[in-house]
Amino acid sequence: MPNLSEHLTKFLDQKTFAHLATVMADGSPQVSPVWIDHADGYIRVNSAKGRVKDANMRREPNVAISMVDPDDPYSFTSIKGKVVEITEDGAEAHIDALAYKYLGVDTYPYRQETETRVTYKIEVQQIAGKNVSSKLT
Amino acid sequence: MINMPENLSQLIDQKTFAHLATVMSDGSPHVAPVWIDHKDGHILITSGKGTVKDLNMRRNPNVAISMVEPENPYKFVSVKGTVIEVTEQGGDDLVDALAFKYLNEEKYPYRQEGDVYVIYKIEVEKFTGN
Repeated sequence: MPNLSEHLTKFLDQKTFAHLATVMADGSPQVSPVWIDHADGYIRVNSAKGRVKDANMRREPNVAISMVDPDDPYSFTSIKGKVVEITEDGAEAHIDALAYKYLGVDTYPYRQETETRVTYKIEVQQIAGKNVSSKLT
Repeated sequence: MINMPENLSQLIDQKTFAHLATVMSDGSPHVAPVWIDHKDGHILITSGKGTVKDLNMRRNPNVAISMVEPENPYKFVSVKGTVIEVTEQGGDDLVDALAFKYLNEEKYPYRQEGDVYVIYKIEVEKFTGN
């Protein structure tokens, strides 16, 4: 089991919005805010089958994630990683756990009947970021 | 001058962190938080010459930007755009203006000798948000 650094778990354990970057079929980047957590040394995000980021991660498993500490906007982290597992198993429970973490509710309130939730397990490959006084430009 | 969607300019006018995604030479994505401004309908960001994002944007002008509102993170925008101009002209002034906006400092306090600040002018091509 890989170890996530304390620097990183500090971000992941808070209600931090993660900005997940993926690559489109035409090679251009896409980035949008997602909820995030971690288990067994992997970062986990959740989406629904057929979404842009779902299609992108199935085609190109290289992803990047950027986060700013909600309590300290000058502390940030920027990660490069690889999607090592894509599964619908447990993905419903996972989105409920994220809803609990971010919204304090037991069940994800925006569930749509037609959607299939998916969990993406991401292996961290590179971490950059500091507690700034470093540079954001 | 291009018209920028009002909810995008409103977000940029706040101390909103933008998460700028670019593409590396190996085709993998890169994303990092940046300060952001807008002028004449274009998004402006700055970086130091030779940084990862500087190199990426010079090689591949396709970028994407994600932002959540500082006071209400459930309001967000996701932008796809193209870098249409890369210039060092005005780079020092922009980094100072951004330091004033975000840090309330007259001068960018993290400047290091030899740093060259570059302005990237980004045309918004696609905009999603709530």
